Parts: sequence; C-alpha cells; structure tokens
Amino acid sequence: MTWTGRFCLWMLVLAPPCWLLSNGYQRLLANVLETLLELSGKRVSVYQLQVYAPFDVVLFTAMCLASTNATRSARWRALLLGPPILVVIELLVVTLAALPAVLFRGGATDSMVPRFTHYTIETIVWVSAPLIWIALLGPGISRSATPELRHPPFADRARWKG
Amino acid sequence: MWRRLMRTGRIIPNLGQEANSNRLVARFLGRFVTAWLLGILILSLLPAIEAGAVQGTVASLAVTLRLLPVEVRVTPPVIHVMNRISVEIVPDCTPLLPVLALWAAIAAFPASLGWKTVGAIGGATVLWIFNLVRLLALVPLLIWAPSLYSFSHLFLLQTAGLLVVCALYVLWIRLQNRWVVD
Repeated sequence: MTWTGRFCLWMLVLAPPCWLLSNGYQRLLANVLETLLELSGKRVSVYQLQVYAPFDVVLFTAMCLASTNATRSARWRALLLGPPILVVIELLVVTLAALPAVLFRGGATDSMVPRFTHYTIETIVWVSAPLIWIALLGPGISRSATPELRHPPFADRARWKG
Repeated sequence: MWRRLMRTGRIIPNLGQEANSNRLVARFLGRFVTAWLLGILILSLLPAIEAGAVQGTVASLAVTLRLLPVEVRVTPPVIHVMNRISVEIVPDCTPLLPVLALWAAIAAFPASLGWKTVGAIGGATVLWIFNLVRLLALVPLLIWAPSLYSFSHLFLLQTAGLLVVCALYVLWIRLQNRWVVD
C-alpha cells in the first residue's frame, strides 16, 4: 500500500473522533488565548475560534503513522514530540493573529488587520502539520527514500544554489 | 591550519549523513516559512489579489455549473443554485492559500528558475481546477445532506486539498529529477 493509501486510512479512523472533540478543544484554546492576552494586560473575550484544531494534530499523526519507511523509533519520537509542538504553534498563531486587533483596539483599524488575522490563522491549516512532519521525519525518510526522492532538500548530495 | 583550510572552503568537513540531512531539511524549512510569511503579508497588504480570486472563483463556478447544466443566478459574490441554495464565495473558497503553500514549497526548493515557474503555473492551474471540483462537490451536499456539509467542508475537503498540494509538490520534484537525468 502506498503512503497516500495508508494516510487516507488513518485519517478515516482518526477524523470522526477529532470532529467530535473539535468544539471543546477550540473552546479550550480560546480560554488559554484569553488568559495569555490577559497576562499582557489586555482583557479580551474570544467568542468563537475556528482554526481547524485539533485536525492539524490528527493530520500529523496520520502522516507519521503512514510513514512506514521511517524507523519505528523515529516515528515514536515524532508521535511523542509532534503533537505538543503543534499545540504550541496553534497558541502562537492564534496569539499572533489576535495581537493586531488587540493592540489597535479603539483606533482606526485598517482593513489589512482582519485579513492578516485570517491568513495567519490559515497557517495552522496549510503549514503546521506538514512542516513539523518534515522537521521530525524528513531527515530519516530522506535516507531511506526511493532514488527519485533522494534529492535536495531530502538528499545528502544536495547543492543549494536556490 | 586545518581550520583555515576548512574556513576557506578547500576542505569540506564531513558532517556525516545524518547531520547533513538535518542541515538541508532545516534550510528548506527556513526558506519555506520565510516564503509563507512573505506571502501572507503580501495578501494582507494587497486586497486586490483576494478580490480577484473571489471574482474569478465566482465566474468559473458559474460557468461550470451552467455547462453541467444547472440553473444558476449570479449576484457576486453569491451564486444562487436551482433557486434552492445560495453559495457565498469568500476568500476561503478560493485556491489562494493552497497555491501559496505550493509556491512557498517550490520557492524553498533548489531548482532552476524556469522549472520553478513551470511548477508554479502548472500547480496553480491544477489547484484552481481542484478547487472548482471541491465547490461542485459541496453544492449537492448543501442541497441534499446539509448535516454533512460542515464536516466535509472544513475537514474532508480541506485535507484533500492538502493532499493535492503535497502530491503536486512530489510530482514536481520527480518530474524535475527525470528531466534533469534525461
């Protein structure tokens, strides 16, 4: 079975419970965000947070479980380290996304602010899980990859001319 | 003397396979994150890009639905389908962010400028088509199974989008290798 096949199978298993947990998890994330912003002296109420979480964690888990060409120890290490890192990224991203709105509160907010907030939040969807997967399993996979994939940045014979 | 030779590049230190791999992956990640941040900053500063993507998505979706043929009435950015549902196209419904993710990954990868351009244009085209298919799949769901809409929209199709981006990227690398070898 290919990597994609294994990934899809794991996603099928993990997605439904994640969907059920999603609202509660995002509420918890909103509470932590409120606390973090309060620490900096800004009192903010977050009514709803829709940031794809914890689907990024599930996505990462499925990617790790599907990566059978990485060693078992590397996969375990990734599965242990990855989710906490992703949670930290979620918190960093939502804090960064909320900052412009908090800092410029009461002032004339440019239309750039909501767009920046929106696009920053999308980082969780499109970037965080694949990025952490590459960071934790990329080097290991590259050494055991098929010849076609033994190429920069996953190869050792890379020449970085950009 | 050895240190001086290494500094001047006459002797390349053997860092070992693992260290070298780690270094290369770190460099790729650094470039990718920089390109992504630059991209979201440009998108935030230039609302015309977002507006253009929404307009383009509305137009192409309306044309595709009419070709199917489905009764459609367009009052941008809303599309009324069969007088039963109204679909509002928002920036999330456009392929802007998947395209940005692919472009950032392509920019972070060491390849010739020509090959990067081919990947960027080809990838954006495929992602635009995929996005249309995604929106077309959501229309019947909205009509006949609205309870499944949220799950499919937010999770299944978003994950499928991410898979398509990854698949296009791997394909681009493989084609480049084949092209270089040939």
